[in-house]
Amino acid sequence: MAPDDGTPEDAGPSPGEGPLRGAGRHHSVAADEPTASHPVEGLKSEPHHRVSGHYHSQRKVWKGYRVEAWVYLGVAAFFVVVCAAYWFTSKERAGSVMLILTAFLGFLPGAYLYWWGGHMHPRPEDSEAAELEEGAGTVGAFPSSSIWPFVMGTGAAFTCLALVFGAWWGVLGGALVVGCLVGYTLESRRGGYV
Amino acid sequence: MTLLAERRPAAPHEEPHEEHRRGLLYWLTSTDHKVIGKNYLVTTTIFLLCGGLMAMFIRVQLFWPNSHFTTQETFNQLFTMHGTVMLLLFAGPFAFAGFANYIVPLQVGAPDMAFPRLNALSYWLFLSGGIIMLSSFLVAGGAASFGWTAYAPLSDSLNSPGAGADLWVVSLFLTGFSAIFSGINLVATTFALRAPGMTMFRLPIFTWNMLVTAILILIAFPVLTSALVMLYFDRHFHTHIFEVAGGGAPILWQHLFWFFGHPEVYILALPYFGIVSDIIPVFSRRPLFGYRGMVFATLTIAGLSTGVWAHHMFTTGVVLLPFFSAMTMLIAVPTGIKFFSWIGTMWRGAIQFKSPMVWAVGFLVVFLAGGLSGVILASPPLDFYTNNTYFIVAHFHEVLIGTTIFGGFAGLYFWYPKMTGRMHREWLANAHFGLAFIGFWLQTTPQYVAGLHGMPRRIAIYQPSDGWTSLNRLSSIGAWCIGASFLFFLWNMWISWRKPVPAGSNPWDAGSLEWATSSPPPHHNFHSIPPIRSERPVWDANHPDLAELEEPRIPAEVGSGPSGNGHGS
Repeated sequence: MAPDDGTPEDAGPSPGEGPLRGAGRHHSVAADEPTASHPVEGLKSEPHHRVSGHYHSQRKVWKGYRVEAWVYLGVAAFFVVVCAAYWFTSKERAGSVMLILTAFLGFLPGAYLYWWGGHMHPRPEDSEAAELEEGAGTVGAFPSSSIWPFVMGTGAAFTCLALVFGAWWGVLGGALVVGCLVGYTLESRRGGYV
Repeated sequence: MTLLAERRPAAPHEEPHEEHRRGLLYWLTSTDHKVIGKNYLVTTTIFLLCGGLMAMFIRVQLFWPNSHFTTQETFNQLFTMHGTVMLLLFAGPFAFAGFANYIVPLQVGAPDMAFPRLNALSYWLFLSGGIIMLSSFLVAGGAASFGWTAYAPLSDSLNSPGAGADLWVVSLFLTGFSAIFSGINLVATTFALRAPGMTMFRLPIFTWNMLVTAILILIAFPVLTSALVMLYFDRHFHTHIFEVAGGGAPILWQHLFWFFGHPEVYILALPYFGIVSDIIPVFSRRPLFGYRGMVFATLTIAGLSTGVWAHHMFTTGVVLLPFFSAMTMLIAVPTGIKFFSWIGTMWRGAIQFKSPMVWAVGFLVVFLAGGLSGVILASPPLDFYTNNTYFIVAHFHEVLIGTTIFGGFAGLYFWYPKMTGRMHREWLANAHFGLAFIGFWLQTTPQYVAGLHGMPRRIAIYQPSDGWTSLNRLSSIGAWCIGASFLFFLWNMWISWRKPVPAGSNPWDAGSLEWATSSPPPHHNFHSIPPIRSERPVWDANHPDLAELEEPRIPAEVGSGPSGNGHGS
């Protein structure tokens, strides 16, 4: 962790061409929409104008996922300390196990984000001076509708009812869950919505 | 997963019709975070009314001594389901699934939640879990009656036979997974879908609080879910995990349950802290005082809340009293920081008492009172004296109603224009507040007194000679006032539906990003967004002159360092 000391770099924003960055950022979806004048009064001037020009100099650029990683690592550090204090004062096992597992829960994603953030270029959302057009490109696929979550939810509920009322509910629930898995997979291949 | 190009681009004819799709199929299939958020809000409000109705019945029973309005068994079912429904079907999901779903993607400038289909699944699991829980009243033997804490051995198959208890277990199983999925979605959205310039330290406090709540969910709910699996195994497969007879330990249930249960209290509270933190600056016409202190306090509260579970177990005699007492009292420090920031924000502000602000100030008063009695209960000798009395009941109703009702409806009246594009009627919202506020004090204050006079919780019948009659009558009248106040709310919703008054995109002249888009927002949220140069990008864009005055952070000619607090200038 030594090279990435977690301190923000005092550098200008890096455009998002990095090999490890996600493929572009926001408002590609908006670009798919019919363009319209901005609905908010006061924003009718060009949408990417700066509030005032002199803000732009010397803005902070965080390394990728650095604050996010520290949130999780903070969880890990806090619970290591609490677990140590609790174990040495109480010797109680159930609570100590839960506390140390909570520390792991913080450590795993925190360490991963820290490591990953050290290998990626800063994202525009980590830069205080980023312009909106730096995030241009595809954000991702956001399906607007799908029936399969409903089918999966119903199937899961029926399967749970099998635990109370008998196995025949499980047949119904299992069929729905399996049907959902098939349908969900094919949905992505078909490109359809329902 | 949705960040990858996982499907072919949709055919061009499909996309333009999305906004016009309505009806049952649209509702069943939508993965839009706004639709799901509204689904959650409506569903949880219905559950609130169901849980409230149970509370009304409980208070009818307690209005008279020697009352036979319900049997003891029905009374047990009522308070068990009242607690479970209010905590797990209303208070939590109302904020961390309803408001969070709707508002967080807008506040970070995202087109949707990170995993839209997981989001929809989360809702359907929640709805089916809720229906299963309420339907347990219909099975032979009635609903679960062991209290919302389901202490072993009361919850085992010998003491609580019947399908009602099992339905309680599996419904919490479903809603638990729903909460975990919502938590994952919230973390991923906040971490990976922010707009350019929206750094972590420019997130609105509401989003910060939702992020911390989501992490708390990930810490707490898996513990509950695994404990429920153990309970189910004990009930049906005689695994004796919580049974002394088979070598198990009933106290283990309490450890597991409260390791979930106390963070759950903050899973309920933190989102509402966030709502209030967003509302107070808007109606005080000032930026939030102590932004980073707020973030730090939120994180600290969340951390400490996970280390205090056994303060619910002081009277078991097998927990380390000094450790849990000290940790509990420590929570008062970051909570105090929050109060300091809220009051500091209002201090010398041009306060506008619009309905969200009225509710938010009500939250401050009520939650402070509940918090103070919490500090009393953190002291083991005082807890020994008041444990299992109405003092405890009064304390947690003050804390929970303070946050979820006063904070929650502050948020609802704040964002209602954004969600619907219509204004509610201010006087009805204020009347709702007034009656609820009066009813609230009338309900809880006598309960404190009754508790100190020794009235135990969870009793259906008391005697006239106990001397609690008038206190209970006051408390019942207060509870009914709270219940009646919701008629104003329903009337308000009805009027705004039948006689709409257009709200415009930013009726409160607020500053965070959700106010930059139309009301209600279009499909995928934004046609364009303002540049993000502070925590209040919309305020900066609408008031560029004030933005420069209020943020003299980086005078280019001085350059007072990257954090730019302007001290050098």
